[in-house]
Amino acid sequence: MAELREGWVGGRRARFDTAGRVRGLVSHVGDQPVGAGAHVAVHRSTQPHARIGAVHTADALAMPGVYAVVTGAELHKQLGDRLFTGPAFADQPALAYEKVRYVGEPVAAVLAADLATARAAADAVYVDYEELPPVYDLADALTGTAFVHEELKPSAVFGDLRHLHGVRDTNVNYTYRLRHGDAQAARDAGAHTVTGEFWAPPTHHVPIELPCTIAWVDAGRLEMLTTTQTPSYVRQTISDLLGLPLSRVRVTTRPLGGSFGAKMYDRLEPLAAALAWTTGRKVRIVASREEAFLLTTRHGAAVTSSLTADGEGNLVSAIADVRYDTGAYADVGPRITGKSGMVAPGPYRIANASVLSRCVYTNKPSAGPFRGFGVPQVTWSHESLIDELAHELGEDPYAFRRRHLLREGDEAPMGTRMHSADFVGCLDAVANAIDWFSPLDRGTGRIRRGRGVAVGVKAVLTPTIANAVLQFNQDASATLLISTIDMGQGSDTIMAQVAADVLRMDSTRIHVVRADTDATPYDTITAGSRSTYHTGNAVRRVAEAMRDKLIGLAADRFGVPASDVELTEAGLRGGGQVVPVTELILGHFGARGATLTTEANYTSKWVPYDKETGRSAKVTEHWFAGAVGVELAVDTATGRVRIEHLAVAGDVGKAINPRLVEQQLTGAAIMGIGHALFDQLVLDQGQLINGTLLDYQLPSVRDLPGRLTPIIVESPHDDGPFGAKGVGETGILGVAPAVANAVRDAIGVRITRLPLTPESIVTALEGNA
Amino acid sequence: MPFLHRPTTLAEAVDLLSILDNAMVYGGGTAIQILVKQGILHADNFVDLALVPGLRDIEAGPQGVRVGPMVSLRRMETDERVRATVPLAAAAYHHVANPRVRNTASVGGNIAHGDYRLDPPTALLVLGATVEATSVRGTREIPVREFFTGFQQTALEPDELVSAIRIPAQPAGSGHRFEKNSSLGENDWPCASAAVLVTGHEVHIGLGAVAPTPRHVTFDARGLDDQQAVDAALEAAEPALDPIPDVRGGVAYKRALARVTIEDAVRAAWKEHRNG
Amino acid sequence: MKLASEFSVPAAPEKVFPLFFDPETMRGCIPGCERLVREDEQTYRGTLVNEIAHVRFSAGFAAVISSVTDQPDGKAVAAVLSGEDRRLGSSIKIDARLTVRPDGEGDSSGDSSVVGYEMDMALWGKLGRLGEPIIRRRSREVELEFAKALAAACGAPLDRVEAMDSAAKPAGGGTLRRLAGARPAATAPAAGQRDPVVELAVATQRLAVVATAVSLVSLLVAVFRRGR
Repeated sequence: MAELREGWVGGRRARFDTAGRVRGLVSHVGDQPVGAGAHVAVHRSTQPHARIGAVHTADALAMPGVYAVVTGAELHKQLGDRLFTGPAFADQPALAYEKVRYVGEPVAAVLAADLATARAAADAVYVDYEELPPVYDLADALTGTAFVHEELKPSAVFGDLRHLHGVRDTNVNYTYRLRHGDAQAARDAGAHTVTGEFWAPPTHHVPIELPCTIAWVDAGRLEMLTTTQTPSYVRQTISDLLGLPLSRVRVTTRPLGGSFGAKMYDRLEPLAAALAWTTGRKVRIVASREEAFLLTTRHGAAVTSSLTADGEGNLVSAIADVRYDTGAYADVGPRITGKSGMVAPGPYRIANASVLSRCVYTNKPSAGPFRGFGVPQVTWSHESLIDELAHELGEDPYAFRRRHLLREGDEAPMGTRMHSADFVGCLDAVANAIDWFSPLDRGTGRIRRGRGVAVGVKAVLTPTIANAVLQFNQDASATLLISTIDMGQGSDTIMAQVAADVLRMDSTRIHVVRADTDATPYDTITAGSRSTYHTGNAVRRVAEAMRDKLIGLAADRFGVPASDVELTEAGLRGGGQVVPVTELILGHFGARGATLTTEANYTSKWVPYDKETGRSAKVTEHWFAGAVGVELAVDTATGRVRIEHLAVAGDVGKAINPRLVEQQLTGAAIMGIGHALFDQLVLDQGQLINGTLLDYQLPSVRDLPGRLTPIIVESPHDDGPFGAKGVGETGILGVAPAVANAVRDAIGVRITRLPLTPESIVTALEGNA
Repeated sequence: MPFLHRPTTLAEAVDLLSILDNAMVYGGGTAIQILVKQGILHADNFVDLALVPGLRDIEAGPQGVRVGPMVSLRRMETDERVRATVPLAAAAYHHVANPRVRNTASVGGNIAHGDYRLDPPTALLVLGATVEATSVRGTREIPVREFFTGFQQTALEPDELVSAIRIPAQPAGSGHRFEKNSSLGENDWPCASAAVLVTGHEVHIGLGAVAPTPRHVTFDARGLDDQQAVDAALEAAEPALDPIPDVRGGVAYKRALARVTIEDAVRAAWKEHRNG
Repeated sequence: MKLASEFSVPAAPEKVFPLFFDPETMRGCIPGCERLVREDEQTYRGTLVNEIAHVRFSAGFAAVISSVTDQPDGKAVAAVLSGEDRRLGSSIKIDARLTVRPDGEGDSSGDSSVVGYEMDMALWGKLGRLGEPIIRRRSREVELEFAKALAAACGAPLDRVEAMDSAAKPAGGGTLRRLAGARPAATAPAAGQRDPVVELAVATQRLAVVATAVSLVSLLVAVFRRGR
């Protein structure tokens, strides 16, 4: 019984695929054989911004084993402007057409008998370019006269972007404004103001598994096996790209080996579909590790901001100017700009707030979704500012935050009320964990110790749609059809737990089907920490529908009203009788192996931002609340930071599986440590110069804190499945500012540019001396 | 793709090197494979030494150790004879990359790579090791202090391979220390490394990553206390510090980190020598 | 990537300057420069050939002059250089600026000039993600080679040229130093008022810029071809 319950809601059962993932027994997309298919390699631009002249393909075509070399112009001839895709703007061609907009942009694709031949032939392609003035950074983009795109091309998906269609002579593709009260006047009148120029650099996701897409045409249908978090989106995109009905596009997946936002929206899929469709060949595209760095990045973001308190220490004004560098293609940048801009003031009671948040094109690799969806970049600003304001007022940074944090029912500056967002509980938990209230050994010699805390707030992706289909098998096992992608977060495990809890069954007897758009139902996306809540609700509903169906059958069998029948571990019980589910279904169908089927939907709704104020009464279905506490030591001679203890807390509403929640909080914290201390993409005049795993810095086991304490806070959500919400992003929000605040505490220096490299710390100390 | 040759004798290997176009000796392959994967290595022929007998031998005696080029870095850190005879070298090999790399990378390939950031050369410089270079013309001995001739350039001729490294035994009663610091992730390439040997009368310092080549400096330590030794070490090292600025840090920071690394290593080696 | 440095040439500006008017001298000073053709007033094309560790390579480049200043107290030329290595899928663009001025800190006889260069170099493609430390390192070697060749061309005694091995190392531990400020203002030559002597000076001074800049590229390519 206890074992059974470990697989229900609140149980700590191990994920079903741990051994398979660790030992390589789970097969991924890249493991699938392609038989006689063509291997694709891409010739990439060596110019940041240029008009494409002749593309010389003869040398490549002459190489033995090369089937074809395809250019953007050829694809455009066949597909027209449908070649341009993207989740917010239809601006990204599968192969560059007429212009290249970043160094490394795909210009031509080679199809060959094997990958080595394809890559050698791709190197043999050369291109004549006519140089155009490049836009390297935010300053170039906002003040210069060169433009990455001639005009804005919002996609048909989002109605609120329609007014941007055809706008010319700008690199700003989206602007979000929040106006709450008169923030400028309140700042002018305020007693204490702190300001900052913050920078969070672009970073890369670096999932272990490399992106890979296999596409082929079967009986007039375009079929695809791909590494994606967004199969439903990809099906729609391919349908639009090729002009096919959705029923003639099939997108299938395998478990992902990590993603963090890297495998979403338009990555390899549009190119693979276009090549398969136009050549009739089965094609396989796999990104090399170096190419993967170019596929998508986290937005570098600059934030110019201020926070003002009155004479009593009340927060009276928050002002932020946020610029997201989205690179050559908008991707989902405009959505990030809005959703992150609205929380730029932070999770505090602030009387007046003003935010200008812009999404800006530059001639660099495109930036898109990344764990946190732009929020870590603004958290970096607001959690540094409030810390500094506490110092200025002579107050304890923990206590000062606690006094101002939003409580249940409070309306945030962007107009939406807080529910199931226990910021205070999270902050208290991490402060207690790192012994905030006991004296600190400040260190001796060149070692200096400090402590810091930070709080984060993020909205769940809203509105979204989730569907679930459940087949209950006669042998008391079940097959759950959903389109959530298990990329290591454990969704297939916890969805089974939700269904098993409702059906009082063994969760290991529930198989979750891999997303296959021919079979599994529409699901908006596996991203934005939305699946536990949205798909979890759909799964709970589909299981409840199945329970009701079983009870109905049993009621007929027992000859009692359905209200007298109960589903238990032993089977269905009612009117003094018990029947195991196996017998019930066997009796109903008269066949072994028969299945009962139910389906369910869960859809969340929002109220769009007011055009003038950027406010909304319901901007999101729910909030994520998180906090981080850090105790660290700084070696003032080398500048190296050693995190001695990091505590990370997240309000998850209700932990469906506490073990997996702890792993998510821990994993997010480790990723955040990289972002805090050394992880960044370095670009020089549009060229990525550290885009290899030799140079790109990721936390290794030797960079981990001495202690890492994940803490689950449960403030149940009224509408969550068993009160649950997601947790994938909660842990990362506050890591970088908590580290910087602890460095500030240790050495008295405030650093506003990430990452806090040893060099930046030594330089700051010298500047301070 | 380069052609892979797998000779079974040393004579056959050097013969291949003398006749093949654009050939490269293939040892453990840890450096070569990375460059191949990144598409920037255009060797036409690899001469793999894996099947040549005797190249994985370690000979140890009171005078020192003689190490075959295909001995893995991992064995250099774990072999009891190496640890006892040249503990500073064992310490430097222990710090290279990670166990997976050390299990694969070879002693000969490591030094022939000639990269300025490698750990082992710092100790080999300090201990006065000798590289045996073999070609069809025979075998010659190159003092390791003359081996690193320029940025990623060594004294090896294109048709030569490293056939052994001889490391003289560390003097009894000496103190030693290997220290390295990275500037970003802990597991990153070093930004400064120092191998220090303190004997009765002098101090030797080998420096990695702080100049375009590994550097060696020495000074007379007679009559100095530990702080004076540190000061003397920094003064002696100063002309050798010539760091290349890159994503891992600017010149000023790299110089500062080099000084900290030298100080830490000298202090520790000095203490060990005194406590002897 | 910004590179800037300067080096002394042991000859007075009056002696150094005419050398910039002699394409043959320049070609001799540019490490690896095999061919140099003037296509029109602003545009030059050339080939650099180098051989390192038995790997021979050849890289084409083009250079376009963007501005010239020729005043008695200082001379400067700015040019944009571009080159491509197709095999390595890489291209390069350099905004380069070369200055020549009397060496005020030289010995009392005043027989010394300072040649300075500033380059803003963009290296795109496969090499771009790998080349920075190498190009920074190589730039110093090329600079030294060029300076020595120029000094020899000036007729400096051999021992002085050899001495440059150490003397040519800039201050600050031999690292390239960034030259902030103190840059002479560049002025574009006014149309229709071109002095033929200036024209020639432009052409040859540009060669020097090409020398230092493109040689860097060629050496870089060589290093990677060699596979180190």
